Amino acid sequence: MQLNDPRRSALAAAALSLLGTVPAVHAQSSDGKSWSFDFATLLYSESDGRVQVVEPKMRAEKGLGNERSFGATATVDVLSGASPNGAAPASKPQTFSSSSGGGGYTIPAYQLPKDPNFKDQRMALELDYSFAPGIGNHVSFDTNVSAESDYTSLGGGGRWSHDFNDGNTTLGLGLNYSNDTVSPKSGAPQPLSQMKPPSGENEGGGEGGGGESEGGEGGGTGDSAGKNKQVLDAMIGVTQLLSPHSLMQLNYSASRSTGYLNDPYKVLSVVDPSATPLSYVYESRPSSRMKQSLYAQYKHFVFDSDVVDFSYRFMTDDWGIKSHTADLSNRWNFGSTQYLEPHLRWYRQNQADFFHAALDQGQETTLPYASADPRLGAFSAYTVGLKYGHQLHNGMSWDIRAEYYTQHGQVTGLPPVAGSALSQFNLAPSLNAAYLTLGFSFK
Amino acid sequence: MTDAIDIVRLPGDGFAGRFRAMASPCEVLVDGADKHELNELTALAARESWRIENRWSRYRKGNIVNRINSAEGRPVEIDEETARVIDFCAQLHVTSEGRFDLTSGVLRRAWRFDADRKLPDAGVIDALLSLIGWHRVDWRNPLLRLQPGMEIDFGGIGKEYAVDRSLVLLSAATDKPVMINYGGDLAANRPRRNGTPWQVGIDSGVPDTATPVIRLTQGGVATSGDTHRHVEAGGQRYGHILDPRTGWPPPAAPRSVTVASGTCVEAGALSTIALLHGAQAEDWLRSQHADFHVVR
Repeated sequence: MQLNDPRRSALAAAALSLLGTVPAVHAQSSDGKSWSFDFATLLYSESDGRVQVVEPKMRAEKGLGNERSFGATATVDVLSGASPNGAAPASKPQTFSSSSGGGGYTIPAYQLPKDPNFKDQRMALELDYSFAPGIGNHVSFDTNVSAESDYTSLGGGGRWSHDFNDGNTTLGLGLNYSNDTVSPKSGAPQPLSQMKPPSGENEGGGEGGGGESEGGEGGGTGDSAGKNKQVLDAMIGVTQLLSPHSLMQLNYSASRSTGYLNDPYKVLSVVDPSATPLSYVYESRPSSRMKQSLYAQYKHFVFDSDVVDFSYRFMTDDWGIKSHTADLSNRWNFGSTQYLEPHLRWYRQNQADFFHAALDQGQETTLPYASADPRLGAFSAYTVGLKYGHQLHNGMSWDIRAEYYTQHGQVTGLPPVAGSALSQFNLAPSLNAAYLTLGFSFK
Repeated sequence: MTDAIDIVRLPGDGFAGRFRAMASPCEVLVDGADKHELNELTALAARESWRIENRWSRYRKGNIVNRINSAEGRPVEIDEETARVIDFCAQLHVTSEGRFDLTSGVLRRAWRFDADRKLPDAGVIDALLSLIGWHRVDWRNPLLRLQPGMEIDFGGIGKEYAVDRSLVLLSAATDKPVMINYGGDLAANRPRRNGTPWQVGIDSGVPDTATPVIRLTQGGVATSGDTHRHVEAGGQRYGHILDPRTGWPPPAAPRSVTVASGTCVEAGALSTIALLHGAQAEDWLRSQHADFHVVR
């Protein structure tokens, strides 16, 4: 090609001046062996002095070349506040022994009883390794350990995915196993046994005779040996590119938990026909739970850069709970480095078969299972959130996300005799919570 | 944004980074890069392409093009990058003797290259011609003033500019050879590591013609054509590239023109202007000493 025509060279020069003077945007050269770091802190706060959580998290990832990478994630949770203990409100003040083994606490009349001494710290560490053993195949393994004062968890899993159909379809399989131990401070209470009053009388406890029995002020017929729980999760999923602008993912997952599935700090009120509490008994859940869920996600790219993401999950388990989750988010990019992402989520579940707001006298000796844990009750919840992200120079980026969660309980599981008398109380008060997450990452 | 980027393994060897921008499939090839590196480099190219698309899309409220087109005769202050493109297009207007014109987009109101495929009314086109012509525009950098009702449109240059810009950015980010392919508009910074040229099949879109394979070692390649959008009436074919001086497609225009040149924007300008020369497309390209391939 010759470039000696005067008009040609004018055109070539014009094209070069169009491009040549544009400042180049920096980018680090890399050969896939770079380090990357992510830091995030979550602040979670429930209304009415309920649970507060501060959760700093750090992740480091090292690319090892040839699609291999190694990552480590460390998380610390600091929890404090008050958590509903399962007892129903009453027309007189109620006194409970504290789950933390200390003294008791008294709840004013008509209020939903909450244990104010909910306080814990959790530390978790996860290691993962991923590689690509052949064309279109990806494998990753991870192992994790977490510990808090009365709960430890040890787990691991693997995932395999395979791309086919020119990379337009991905099949994924995953398997995860964890082995958890619950060691309540005052021993694990006998299900449906009576919670002992907080004062020194009847200092029984320690029926199971564990070595580190702390006297059982709160523990009733406590069993101070740790209680074990195993969870096995399996997942199979397909991701299909529908068009250059959209993709769809379908997952089926099954999860089986066995062992000690009770919350050792949750009780139920046993009430007389006028809804006056006679005693409090520890909850009792089946020793196995099988959950199955179907998940569908649809992503659509708008203007080739904005992303609309809709997903729906249906979950059902053999405790009688069915839940629905619908989630919608829309990432809107503005400028070349910033985005806003509004987020909406709707959730609804019905109650477990053995959910009871309270028990009539005598039910505690005839029912095999009973729980008043609000998480096993019927409720619906909404989350509204907004995220802002900003890509800085040199591979650094940060984002901030604020979310507001509101949960409305439905009153279910009223006992046959005292049910109408109990209805005078607000058995399922709404819960509001705010989330704030700040994240920062660099390479 | 990386959500919209795909890294696919190519048959044979290596990977391609893919995304969509400017209504086209976009591809980034980096010879010798692994998946992680290619993902980073593709993200860089994609961000730049989406930036350019957002900045000059006619459909984006509040951007510079939208402000210019809704100024109703008032002057609009132009940012530096947009000003450079306007300068370049003003140069093309001279080089093409008025055939390349940033203000020709209003002809879209008369010509609809969609399913119903009807020829426009000649009276409508004549009326629109009063809203077309770079000579009616007052451009004194940084102020641009259009007559009320006039519009500008960077659709004819944006994709080629994104190709060249992406190549500039990726050349600064990696030492490996890079090739950019946005919907058939290409640019490469050097041959592959083994010294051989990049080979790209260009879909001319013309049925029953062989797909030309382009061997590109360095520089840009662009293709203009009417193959995907045209109107047929009375046995005649009317392509979607319109001569702003008449409001009609140039007579006897080639089906497609592919030009290789130093940069993709230059190749794109040459191929578009050649098409607007109609029957004289090849002659004009020869007069420009261009390296070209024409399908008629």
